Amino acid sequence: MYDVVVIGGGPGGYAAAIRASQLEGKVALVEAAEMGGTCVNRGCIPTKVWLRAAYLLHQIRKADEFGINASVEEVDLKAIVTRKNGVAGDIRMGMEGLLGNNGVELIRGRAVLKSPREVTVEGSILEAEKIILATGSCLNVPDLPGLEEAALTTDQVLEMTKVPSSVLIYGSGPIELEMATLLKTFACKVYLVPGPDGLLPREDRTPRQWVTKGLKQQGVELLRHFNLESVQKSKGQYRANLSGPEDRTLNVERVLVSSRKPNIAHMGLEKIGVRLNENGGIRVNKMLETSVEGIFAIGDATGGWMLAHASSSMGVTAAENAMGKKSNFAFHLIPRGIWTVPEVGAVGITEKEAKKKGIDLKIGDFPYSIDGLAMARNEMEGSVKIISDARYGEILGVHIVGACATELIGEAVLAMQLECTARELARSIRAHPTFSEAVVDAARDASNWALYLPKRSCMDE
Amino acid sequence: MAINVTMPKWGLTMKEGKVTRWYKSEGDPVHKGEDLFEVETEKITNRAESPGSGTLFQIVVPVGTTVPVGTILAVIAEPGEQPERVEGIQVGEVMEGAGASAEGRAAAEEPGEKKFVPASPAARRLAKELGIDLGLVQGTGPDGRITETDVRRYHEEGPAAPKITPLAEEMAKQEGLDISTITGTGEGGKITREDVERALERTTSIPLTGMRKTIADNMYASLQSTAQVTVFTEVDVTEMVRLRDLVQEEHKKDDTVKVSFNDIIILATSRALKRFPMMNSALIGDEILLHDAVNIGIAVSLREGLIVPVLHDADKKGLLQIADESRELAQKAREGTLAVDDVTGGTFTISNVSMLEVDGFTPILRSPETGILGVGRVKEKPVVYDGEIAIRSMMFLSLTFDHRVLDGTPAMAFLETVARYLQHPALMMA
Repeated sequence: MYDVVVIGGGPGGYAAAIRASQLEGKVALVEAAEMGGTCVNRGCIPTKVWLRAAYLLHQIRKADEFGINASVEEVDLKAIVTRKNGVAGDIRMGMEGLLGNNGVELIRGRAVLKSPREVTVEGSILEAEKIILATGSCLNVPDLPGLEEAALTTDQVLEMTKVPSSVLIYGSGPIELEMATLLKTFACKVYLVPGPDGLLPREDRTPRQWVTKGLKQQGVELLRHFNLESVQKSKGQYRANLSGPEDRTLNVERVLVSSRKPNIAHMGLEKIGVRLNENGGIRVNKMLETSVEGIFAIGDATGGWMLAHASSSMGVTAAENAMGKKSNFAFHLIPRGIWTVPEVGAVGITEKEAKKKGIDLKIGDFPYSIDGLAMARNEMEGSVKIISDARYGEILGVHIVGACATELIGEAVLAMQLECTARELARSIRAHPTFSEAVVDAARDASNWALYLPKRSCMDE
Repeated sequence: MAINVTMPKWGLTMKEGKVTRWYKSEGDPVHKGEDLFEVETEKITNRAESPGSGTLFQIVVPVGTTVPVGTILAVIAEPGEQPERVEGIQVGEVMEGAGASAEGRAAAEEPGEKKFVPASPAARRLAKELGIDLGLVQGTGPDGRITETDVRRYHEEGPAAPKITPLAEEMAKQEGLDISTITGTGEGGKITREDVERALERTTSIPLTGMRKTIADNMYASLQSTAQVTVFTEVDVTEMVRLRDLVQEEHKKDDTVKVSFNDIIILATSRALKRFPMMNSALIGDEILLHDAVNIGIAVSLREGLIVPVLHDADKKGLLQIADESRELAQKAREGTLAVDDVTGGTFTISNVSMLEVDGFTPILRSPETGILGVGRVKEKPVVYDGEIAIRSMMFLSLTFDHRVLDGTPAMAFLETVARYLQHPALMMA
């Protein structure tokens, strides 16, 4: 009998298993494939290896701005793949080692729920006081004629040894946009069809505008008012039929799709009464309990943002609750990191959402273009936007776009978690010159005393 | 072993207390839990129980002396034991929440068992010297261990303010919420936004406007600007009841005639006021104005609040007219059709709570009037009547008067007159 059986060895399940074990639970983790899940093997980590390569290439190409005239003789994609595999392998090994070190039993195989207290793995039955479902997500190819055959998956991009000559990317989420940047940097002709909701539909207007501008500057062809209707094979290529202001066809080598859906099939969930939410994920309450007592669910399997860090932090909460604590998961404190050019880091609600709620707002905005370090490094694309409540100064959302945004957003998460007000953040000190100064400056702007911006009265519309 | 009885600590802010009473004398046997002494603090007076059983060997701190928390007040000896006598002010272990009924805050804190508090030996020694309960000191050492500096800081600065997030603090400030009343549920008991929201939910705020605002202002102003004294008397009103029944019987065929006890009380009061003009007066500036007219205000309770229509020239009106007019005024008050004249010019007020099954109360003067009569319910009680126990209808009257205008003796004489009129209504004719 285990105290906790965790199903899924991605970042969520891994964190949950260790946390439950730290709380002196007898824990088993069941993984059907490789430890690390999508994040380590086919997601976050591999894309960051590739994006680093793209970044370096980009930096070398524009090094002449600093008087360095260099040319790139060769890009060895195989070396990138090897490096990617190496990093993923190191992380997997570390994970397995740490699970063992924490006394978590790693069981290989596919888990099926037999009852709310029993998990079957390859014929044997594990008895569990509590079960944590951390099964992640899988690719979800939109149901369009011909798309499945033409589909280039992110898995394939991450293994590529030859860059396709042209790709149509269908979708507008963080993965699609990161893929656009990546492929474009390696000289692939990229068409982006974001669909009816536009780029990054869940993000604030300001980063959306910056990212749109960034993609255009990189030479990604943005087909904003078009939608993909069908794909046909034609002369070794694919012909994408687009609807829009006028019907249009595009001949491309492949069509990249990366939308994802929660991994919940064939696990016996329905049979034991685990209910789903409107996103097709497992429905959980604030304590991450499912509709069946004793069963928790975390991460991509619950739908929502589908972010690795959301999953691992949910894993901690679920494990603690499984071990008898009672804590709520702070859904509103999940940051988003998007590795486009420029980068995006965001947490909390957007300006539009805040206005919809009828909150009286104070918005602080500080452009990178007058941040000292941004100027010195010639990375002036971007800004920090802080949305705060006018009454109490509560920070409701922070939207950073530009260099280091994915790192800087941590400041905002901490401020919001500790319920720091914009007025307090405005008085915080940052090293100079750093991008982090822009965060404090934006907080000052939200508090009506931006030091390095023209007077508000001149700017007010 | 002898037990030292020390000045207890009730609540976070208590630093010292005054012994106001010893329930036992030296040499008396005492039992654990029995009331031993009384302590007066800034906020309350409270009885303290004996922390043990034995003989009260020595009372160290006499009645009337104020000493810091933790000071040894007395020594309880076991039978046959002869402990050393305590000389002067000495510090012992602080008794926490040992009172018979500690005040609100103290009760909310964990009473009884002392928990182990991690502290350095130096900190323990200093705490003992200063009479500080280590449980109240915030430790800054590893794992919250209390250091000597922490104890000294506590001694100098008092208890630390509750931990609260900046946002929660701002919200509490703006909403006028006292943070010491909020329970923190965050890390280490920190008060968070949610806690403030929960605390705010518990209280509903109703804006003070309109009638409520007027009443609030008037009541407060009255108590602030006059010297009010209330006196009581219980009256045998059996004859008043009989009079009411008699009048009703006499006019039973006439639907328009309805006489209440209050009408008879108005009649009696108006007649008595003619004999005590000082009660029918107003102190304005440096002058006491004696009114010729007797205009009786009758307090009427409405859902929105209290209103006092005025029955003019009551002294010149008979019972039936008073009954008729007072009913009409009450009706107008309920319908909201009172005219300005109907609510102004009052010289004395009657407030009757008999319908609320209440015996008595201390009415607040309607400034600048000098008197207000409070009327309780009529209740049949066994009383001594004519040398025998009989069942009689009894009623309390309370009179609040402005002591600036007149003294107790004339005011009580007035009340007695009203009482006699109600006891023997025929006297109103004389």
